[in-house]
Amino acid sequence: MRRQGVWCVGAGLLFALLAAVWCWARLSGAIGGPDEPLAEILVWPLPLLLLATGAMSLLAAPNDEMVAQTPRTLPVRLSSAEGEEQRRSLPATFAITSTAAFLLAFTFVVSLFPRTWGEAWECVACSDGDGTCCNLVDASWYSWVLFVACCIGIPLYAIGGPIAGISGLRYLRRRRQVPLPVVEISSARLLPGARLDLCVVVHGTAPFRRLRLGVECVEEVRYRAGSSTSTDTHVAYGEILEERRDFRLDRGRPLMVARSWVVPRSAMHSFPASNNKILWRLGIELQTRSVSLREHYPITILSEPDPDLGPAPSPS
Amino acid sequence: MRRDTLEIDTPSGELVAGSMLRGRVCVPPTWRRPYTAVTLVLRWTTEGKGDRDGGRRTLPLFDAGRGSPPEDLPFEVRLPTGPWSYDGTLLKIRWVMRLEMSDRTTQSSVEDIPFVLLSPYLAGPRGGYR
Repeated sequence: MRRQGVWCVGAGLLFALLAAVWCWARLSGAIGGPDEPLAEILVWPLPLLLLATGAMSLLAAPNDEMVAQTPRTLPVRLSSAEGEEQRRSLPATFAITSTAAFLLAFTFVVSLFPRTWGEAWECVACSDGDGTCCNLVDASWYSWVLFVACCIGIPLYAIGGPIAGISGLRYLRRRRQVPLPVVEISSARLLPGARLDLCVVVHGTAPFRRLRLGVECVEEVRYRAGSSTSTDTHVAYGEILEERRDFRLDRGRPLMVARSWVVPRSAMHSFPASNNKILWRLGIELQTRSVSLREHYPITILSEPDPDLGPAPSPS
Repeated sequence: MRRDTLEIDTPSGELVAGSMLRGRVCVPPTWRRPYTAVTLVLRWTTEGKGDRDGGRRTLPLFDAGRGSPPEDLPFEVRLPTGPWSYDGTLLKIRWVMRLEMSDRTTQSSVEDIPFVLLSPYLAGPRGGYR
């Protein structure tokens, strides 16, 4: 996170410097180009976005480092459900990348037009056979290329820019206030009747409205309706293990919650078929004034003893 | 359950996963042909809102290498350990057993007999949350 922040700040400063030099050269007439300063205006959000991303990453870095340095208390440290974290950051990453790509492509295309939108450099071999000679020629077809690029790119920019800004900054603000909690358990594979010890460490820098820690069993079914595929879920079992309201966390003073839970003997085992699943998971809900975080950590309820787990609990 | 085809030694149709299933196959006189195989097939399928999943376990009770099948064929097989029968809101898991008797040219199947595969960790008689 810290390295990502330094790279973003560095790239932002570099882009800002390049954009400033380019704008100064264009406005002072040192280099040619169309009269409309469209590209000069559109290029500025990119360095600003990079600088903001870098600053937020640097602010969030200490929390991530504290999470990574949290000492281990139980044998298994769980990761959040597969892809959840990536899914959350995907829109921001896509929007930032597409906006940056559009801006760079647009400014490159504009740089091909030395005086007006309808001119271009045409470079051919010189008549004396020595090197390449470039001349300004009429190129109205370039205007059409640029027009089409603008028609496609500017709406993308108008939509992608705000999405990049808002979702990226929201994601980074969440990382700064509430990093992912550290969840450790005695075993991720359990039989009905077995006891699960768990320890959750929550780092953060914010006044919290609510913390809720629970375990649930979810039925998840996938079905085709026409050409589309839908997924429905239903919570078949849920138990709250811890609930706290209105507390404050400061940097370096995490909240540690240790609990035990016994898998009900009537529990159905985990069932991972293709279209129908029964999933067991720990759920953590954290809420501050402006950030809401809900993470799931999968566990497996077995139908038969695992040789690695030792003796099974005796049926009562 | 039809008296002349298959009997198992559980009165309620509730069987514990992983336990031994004892029973006997009574071959009726009208079916008495040189069977090459008698097989007990246990099939599970899902029911409910989702697209169907399923699986099967095949437990051979008799094969041609052991001579002609007797009129009364006792058997003892170990039941699968899962998936357990389940009766949920969006999803149900059902088990059925079927006797397949085949000779050299044809295969005859006796009707599906539903049963409940129970969790071995249950204190009570029923599995699942319902």
